[in-house]
Amino acid sequence: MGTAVKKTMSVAYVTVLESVRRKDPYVVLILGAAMVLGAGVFSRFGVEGLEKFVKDVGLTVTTVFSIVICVVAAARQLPTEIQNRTLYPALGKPISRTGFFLGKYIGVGIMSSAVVVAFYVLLGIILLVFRIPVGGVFYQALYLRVLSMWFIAAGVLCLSLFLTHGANVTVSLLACLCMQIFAHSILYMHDELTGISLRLAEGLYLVAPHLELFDLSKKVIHGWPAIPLWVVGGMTLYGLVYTGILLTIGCARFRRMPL
Amino acid sequence: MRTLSANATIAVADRTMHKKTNLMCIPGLLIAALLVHLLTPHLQVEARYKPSEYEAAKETIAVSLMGQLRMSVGDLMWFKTLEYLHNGIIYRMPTKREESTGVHAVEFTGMGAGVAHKDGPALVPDQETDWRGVLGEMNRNIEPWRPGHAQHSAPQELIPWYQLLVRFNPHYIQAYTNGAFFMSDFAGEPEMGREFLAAGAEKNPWSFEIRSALGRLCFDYFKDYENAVEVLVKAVELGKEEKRYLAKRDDEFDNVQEQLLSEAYLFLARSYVELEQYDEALAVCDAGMKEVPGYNLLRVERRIVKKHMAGEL
Repeated sequence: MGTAVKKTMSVAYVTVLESVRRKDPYVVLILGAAMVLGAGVFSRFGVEGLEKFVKDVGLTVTTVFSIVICVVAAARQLPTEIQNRTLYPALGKPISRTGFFLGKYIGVGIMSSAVVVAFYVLLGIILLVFRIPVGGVFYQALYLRVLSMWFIAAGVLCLSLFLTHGANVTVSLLACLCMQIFAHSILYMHDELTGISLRLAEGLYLVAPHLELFDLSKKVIHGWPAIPLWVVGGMTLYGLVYTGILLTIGCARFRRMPL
Repeated sequence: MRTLSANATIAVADRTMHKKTNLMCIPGLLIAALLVHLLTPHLQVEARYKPSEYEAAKETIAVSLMGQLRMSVGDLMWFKTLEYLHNGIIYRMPTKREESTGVHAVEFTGMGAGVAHKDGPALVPDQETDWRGVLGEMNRNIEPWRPGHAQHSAPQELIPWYQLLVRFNPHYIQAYTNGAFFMSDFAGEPEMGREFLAAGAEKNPWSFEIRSALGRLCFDYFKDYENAVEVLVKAVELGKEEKRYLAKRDDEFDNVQEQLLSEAYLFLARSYVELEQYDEALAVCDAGMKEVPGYNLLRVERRIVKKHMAGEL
């Protein structure tokens, strides 16, 4: 058991190392510069009391680009290994397909989480420089965003076994960035629906993975207080359940996949 | 062995060349940036359209497509200003069923006609009407939400969005008038408001709305009556032209335009009074009362002008 975990962690380590070699973290630096630029735009306006704008620019950049990095990194893991035929020697060593899949997942999760943390540290520094106070909700937002990275990584890795690389990236990005629109549309239409269409809309809403619930950025931007801890716990459980389901489906598919 | 050594030498030479090529890009980029900086003012042409040209341009396919994109970004930013005004809470219009049970949108006019809008119930339903159980409860905690009617935040937080909005769509007239209003009246930065409006007037030479707001600012904050007269005379002229143009198309001013034209007359009359040109002030009041008959402040101003002329004030 210990050896299997060790092997899985080795795959995770290699995945992180490969991301570093592919210069993914440099993207963080470039986007960090974009955030500073956003803050520079703020300082040009020269009016006090515009803290919301700085937080908005910073958090929007953080959310969008951390999702993009996570999706792109997760989507390329297995197709690249299969296409370059590097998967075969890896599986030739005594590591199970499940171990390999989980190793890839952990590697992407660690890399994406590190990117999110780097973004938040950078944003925290900018807010500190502008003397913009951040409450506990800022740290809760960081936690939920990191949690969402693991959730997204599981979903994208799972989808990469069913879809082509391009389709996976497109579908995943659309799902991640448009989930709020989907949820809001159902909430908006709900009152007008009846019968089967109402049941269908409710069913879809309840089954769909609500990535927008991992986003506390609006609360941070508009200076709302921290959310109750039971909600953070609930979201952790929600994320774990969905991640577990996606990883189970992914592992099952990968085990049975003809290579 | 010799071949290997030759290959290694070629590889080293390649790497050196590659590095040199990369380094040579830096001065090239710097020169390009300098050229852009130097040449742009000579090559840039500012688009200036008459209302008729602007309308005609809107009907062409290419401009229409690009315009749609620009309008969409502008509209998104307009929604962003509403989001800020509501502290991040999203409100929606009531559904037909809700209206039948007495739920109606509330008109908000608290900060002037420019940000007048209707607030219905919050998009995220309250506990009594929510069908989502625990998921709904978590949603209410994660998204900004509060029960009851909408409450509005300090409007100066909207200013950067107006600044950005006009960068995407420099013909979004209401962004100029609203932005300048918040800069001067709420953020205490009238000079910034004047610059913002002046830039807007330059980009929209047909707009009476921007000139009306600029004239009011010159009058109220800078006591610059001569400039106010100059700007407001033009505003009234353009406003009348616009009104005639809309009438031809069986259209009319919206509330914001109506208010801005009324204010153009009012502040023009007031500026003339400050310059002790009472005949002109009276003429403006009379013309204004014909053009915007419902605006009572012009009647009041007319009585003030009469008193000035009679030497009672």
